[in-house]
Amino acid sequence: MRRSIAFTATLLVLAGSAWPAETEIDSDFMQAVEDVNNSLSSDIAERNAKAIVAEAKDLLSRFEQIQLYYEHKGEADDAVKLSRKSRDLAAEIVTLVSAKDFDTAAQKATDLSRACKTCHNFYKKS
Amino acid sequence: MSINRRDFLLRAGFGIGGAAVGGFLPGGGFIGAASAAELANPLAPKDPQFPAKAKQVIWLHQNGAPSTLDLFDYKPELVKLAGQEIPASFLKGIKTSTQGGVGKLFVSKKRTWKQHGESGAWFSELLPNLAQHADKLTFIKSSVTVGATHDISILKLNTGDVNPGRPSLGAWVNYALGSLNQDLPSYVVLYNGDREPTAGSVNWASGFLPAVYQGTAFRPGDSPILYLDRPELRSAAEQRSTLDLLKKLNGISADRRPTDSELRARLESYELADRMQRTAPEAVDLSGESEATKKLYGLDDPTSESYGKVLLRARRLVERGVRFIHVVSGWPDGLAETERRSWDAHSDLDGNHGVQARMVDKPIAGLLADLKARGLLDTTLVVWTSEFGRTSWGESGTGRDHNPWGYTQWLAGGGAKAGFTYGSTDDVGLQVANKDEAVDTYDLHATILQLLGLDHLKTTFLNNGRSERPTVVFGKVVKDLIA
Repeated sequence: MRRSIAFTATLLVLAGSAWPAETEIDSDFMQAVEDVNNSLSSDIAERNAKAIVAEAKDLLSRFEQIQLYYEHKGEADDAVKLSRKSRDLAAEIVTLVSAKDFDTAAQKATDLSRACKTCHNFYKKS
Repeated sequence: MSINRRDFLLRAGFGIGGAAVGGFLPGGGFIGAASAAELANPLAPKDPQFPAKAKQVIWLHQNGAPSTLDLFDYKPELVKLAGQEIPASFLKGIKTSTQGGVGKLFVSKKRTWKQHGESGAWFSELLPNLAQHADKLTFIKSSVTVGATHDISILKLNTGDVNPGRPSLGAWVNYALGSLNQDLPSYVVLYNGDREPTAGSVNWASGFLPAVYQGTAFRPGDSPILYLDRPELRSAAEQRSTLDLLKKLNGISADRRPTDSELRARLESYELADRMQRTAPEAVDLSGESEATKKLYGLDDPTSESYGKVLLRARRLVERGVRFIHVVSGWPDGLAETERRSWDAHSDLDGNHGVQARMVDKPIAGLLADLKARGLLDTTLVVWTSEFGRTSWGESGTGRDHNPWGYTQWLAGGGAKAGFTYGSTDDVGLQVANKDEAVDTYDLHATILQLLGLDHLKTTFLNNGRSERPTVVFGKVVKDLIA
């Protein structure tokens, strides 16, 4: 009986970690990613370090959620790979901007936009 | 002398001139870094951000989307598989929602292929004259875009985005580098055929940039600029006095509306029109060209005559310092309404491309030869481009559908790597073979800007608080294309 309760509890914990991710990744969420990404690009051009760091961290968190969503969904290796790559790029941007290397940060932000586009090409609705 | 707050702002660089270049400067500079000439005249020539290989651009938009599978991209496997269903492996990763569906693989029985030049580039029998310039060309055989209707993909080709409102590439170049000749528009649009291209002026608009940077369309035929001549009853001195008064009155309005770039553009256009009356007729007049030159551009053939005239004008505009010449292909003169077609061959590809290729082949070959002979090809970048390509499968039995997944464009001159091919399509010419080599419209734009001495990431304009650039949030310079 005790094992059965523990098993059920584990399932609930796992389900609990999956459901919020699934319910949050909708078109509003993706629109927010796009908006933040556009602002990030603008702020890098303007060399607005404080805003860049905030936006890159926001994106980092959002790509973690996207990665989690696709890991739970399954059969979406490309999306998992691309969201992980995007998360890493967002993290790199934070590091680069902290070191005042805005030029490389601009390149990485472009790579990030391209990763978004690649993912949407894989998963766009017909 | 007393000075109020408005006067101070005007003199500090936020006035009329400042508004015209507001938010700009290539290289990430600030308004205080602008020269006096830039503030007084938004079209004053500006230095590139780093040494440029090209100074001017001729943008040859092949309207309607040619089948580069029938011009440059020879595919023996497609020939072998013609008439069969396309193997499913070639369709992986694409949505084939184009109007014609997926038909059987198609190859015209008329098509023949030959390699040319030391580079060994392939050309079909449709382009015999251009083939003679194989070693001047830099092929991009891995072009991709967003496939939609022509108008939307043309917008993306010219502005980098599928939504209206962004500046065209020519407008960005005009804004970042200014004019080399203050007596002519520095961004000119030319087309052949009897009407303006259907996709419209949004393709040479300045978008959110000040309106002074937009393209100026010249009509085909003997009178390319409407109402250019001064009325006989008005003397040059009378006209000048009128313009001076107009300028003074408009200047008062402009003082009250320092951010009104439309007004600033109108003020500039009156002055430019006055100067153009003296300069433009000679710039577009072909009567002084030799018979040999006219023949070189195909003016001796009714099919190529109208496009040849347009390209001969393009060369004359390059000689006179026009920065960006945007040429849209139309159709030969004298065709019946039903025969007036762009490259858009959903059916009768042989008939369509037979006419269109003959229309452009000799003129483009002539342009390349002429620019080279006059020492202009080294600094003039010629870009052969289209909104997308066409499918490997047939449509209507004799045509091809739209293909945004893999097609060919090329560059020549202006620092591009001559006699070189970048990227490839798969064995049937449908998709880019290596996705890492895909060249999207904004990658092409980034590379062209690089050749002009501009970093696309640092060519920016502040619009509604957001720093915008020509490549939206994308764009990658394809370094392999640069000599």
